[in-house]
Amino acid sequence: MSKKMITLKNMCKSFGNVKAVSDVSLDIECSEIRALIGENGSGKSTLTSLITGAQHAESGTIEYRGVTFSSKGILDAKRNGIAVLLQEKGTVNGLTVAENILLGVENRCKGKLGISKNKMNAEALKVLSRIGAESIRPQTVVDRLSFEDRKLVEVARVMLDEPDILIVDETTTALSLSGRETIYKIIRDMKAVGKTIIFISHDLDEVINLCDSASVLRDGRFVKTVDKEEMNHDYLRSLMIGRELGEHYYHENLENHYAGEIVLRVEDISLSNKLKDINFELYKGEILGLGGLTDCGMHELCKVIFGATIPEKGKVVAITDGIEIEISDCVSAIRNKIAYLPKDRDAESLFGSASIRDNITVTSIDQLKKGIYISLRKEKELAQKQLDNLFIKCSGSEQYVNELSGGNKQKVVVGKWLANDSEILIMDCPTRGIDIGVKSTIYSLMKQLTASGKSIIMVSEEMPELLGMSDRIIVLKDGAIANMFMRNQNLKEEDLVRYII
Amino acid sequence: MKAVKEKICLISRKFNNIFLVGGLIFLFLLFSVTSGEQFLSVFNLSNIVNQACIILVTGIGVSFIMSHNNLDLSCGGAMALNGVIVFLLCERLSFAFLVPGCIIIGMLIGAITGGIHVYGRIPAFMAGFAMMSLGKGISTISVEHKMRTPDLYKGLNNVYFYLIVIVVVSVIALFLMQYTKIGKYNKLIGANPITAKMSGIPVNKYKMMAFTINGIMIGIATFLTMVRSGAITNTTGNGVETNTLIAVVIGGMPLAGGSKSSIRAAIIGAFIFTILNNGLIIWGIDANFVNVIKGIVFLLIVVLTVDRKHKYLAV
Repeated sequence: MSKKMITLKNMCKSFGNVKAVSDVSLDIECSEIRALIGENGSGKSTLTSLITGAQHAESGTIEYRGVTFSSKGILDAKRNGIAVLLQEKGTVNGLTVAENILLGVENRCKGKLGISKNKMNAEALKVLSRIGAESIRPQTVVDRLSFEDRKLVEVARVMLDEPDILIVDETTTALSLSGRETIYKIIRDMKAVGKTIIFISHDLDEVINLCDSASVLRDGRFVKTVDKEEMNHDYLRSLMIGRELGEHYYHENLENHYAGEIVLRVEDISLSNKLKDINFELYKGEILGLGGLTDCGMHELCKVIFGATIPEKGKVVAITDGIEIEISDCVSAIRNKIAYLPKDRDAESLFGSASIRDNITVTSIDQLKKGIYISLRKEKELAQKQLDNLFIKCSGSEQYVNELSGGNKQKVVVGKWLANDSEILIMDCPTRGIDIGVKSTIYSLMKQLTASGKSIIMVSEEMPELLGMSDRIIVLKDGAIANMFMRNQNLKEEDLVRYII
Repeated sequence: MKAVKEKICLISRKFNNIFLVGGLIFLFLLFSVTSGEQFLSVFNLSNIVNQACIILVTGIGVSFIMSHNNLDLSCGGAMALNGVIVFLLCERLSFAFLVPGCIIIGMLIGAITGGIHVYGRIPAFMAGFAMMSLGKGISTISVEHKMRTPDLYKGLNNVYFYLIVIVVVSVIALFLMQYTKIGKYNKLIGANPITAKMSGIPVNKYKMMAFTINGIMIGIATFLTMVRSGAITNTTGNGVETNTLIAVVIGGMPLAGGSKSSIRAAIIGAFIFTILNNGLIIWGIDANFVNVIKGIVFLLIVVLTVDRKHKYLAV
């Protein structure tokens, strides 16, 4: 019964000085759903990219269906029955659903005159109904689909050739409940016919419910494979970070501890059909949570407060020592010590191909310069200070940011704003795609910041995070404030959800 | 195949640091050994400096624009236009204003090209291309046969003057690029313009500064051309833009700009380009064939230095 599907032996891969994967061996059987868990930077994604051939191992062998296998790249892996579903968007805009699903294999649908659209649509519909997404029409242009449906189109593309191994790399984090269910169903169906699934996720609930076993990685090394019976939150968590972790890494204090001083006022903000008459105040030393559905307008609101988007109506006023200043653009926001940590770190708040030093000092060059001269030594000192402060894992301040893991990248972003002594931090999904270990350091960092008198606006899509961290919670629905909650012990997820949906 | 690719990537990473200086020394030694007497003669060496000077100055200007991920194709035409305008002005006023005139009008032309790009929201290479065409056209129409540089400036046409210009311009540019906001911000804009904006960098302002610096360099190059060729003719500035781009890229300037941009690329590139040109002609190679060789060297260097992980090429 237990036939081996794929065996990894002593896989190694390093990037520069960092050993991303070191001496990892794994056995995965047919009909098995194997979770791959670990903190950010523990080597999960690298390991899967070694399997698909997107990266090449320095040493080690892969045995696939009993023979040695070495893939030349993702396409080669796909031809051999190993398919990957990724976290980020992978559909091509401007093409129809059918064209996206059959991307690269259009030749299968040859008609009398070149490629037949009808055949393509029929083929696409077949796959879509197989995965339970009949509601998506193959003729639709993907741009017009929601994020979820686009993800399902990607799933359909992957399932077109019924792979033997399906690697799901944090795909589900981006999806809502119903989208997740669709993917779970596909995974269970595949298992039933003897296929193998490698499932990467930060969501331990998901892992425990879905997977037969879980392999834990830490710092590029293999820690342990845990069977279904043994799986529970605390045990997995302690394996992942290598030490026991208290249940309460959120805010412990249930008192509202902020002072009465107002530092920021949002007045009557309206933005086309995204925001309607938003009014609120931010107090010194508090964490103000903003919650709601992804498209409720909370992300746009962050951009408006930071001055990156100009609202049609209303204004944002920063108040320092009783002096009121209206925020007109990013430059004036930064000058008034407002910081913005966007949801999409790589695209909006990091210079990937520049050094950590460049990334951290960009907001505080004015403090470093003498006349027009900027001393490299002072820059390095400032960067080093933040590196030490935040325990950023790197080879030094000259390392390029795109070589860092997600959690460390987020710390660089935090460092960049602490370097210029920001007083108000707008954090849009501060722990998105970050695992528990780094998550808890981000949380304790937020606590430290507020304790030292800084104020935080935190947008979050995760209910426990909102409830656990915020002093006050504002729930947005369809661009308007639905309700506001004060921190209190009896506040439950259900109370929020009632106003969110 | 993949191994070869990775090797090329690895080589190209080290390439900037060692190979370019090494390549310059290699070329120098190659021509010294093969045609020593002629190549190493004082006359020829000073000739190399004289020729490299203009391309170095325009290259430095272009470096600022390339650092924020743009291209400038205007410099040849801009030089011609600048020359004609300044000459006509000085003729009416006084030739004492020749140097400041060149720099100020050059600056204006640079700022106009930049303004068309930044405020007109037109790709910079198109704005530059239009400026080049326009400049060439206007200058050809208005060049009169008597546009000769006054004797006052003829004395400057010697190697010491060019050396001083090279050193002064290079040092100032290196300082601006490495140790001031102008260089730092432009390189960061090249690395990621959205992050730059979100980090409080006034993107348009600093792009305009890069274009203005390029304009100043165009102004200096115009004056150097006047000194060197003794007049403004209807061929002034011909081919400067392509030669400059080739030189800067040969010198190791990343095509996509960003934090690896450097003034060193413009300096080394100008000398490699000039020595290659000069040496090949001394070898007696036909001028057209020299272009073929330049093309091959250019391609080779681009193959070795281009950042294949950049988003436009990483598909």
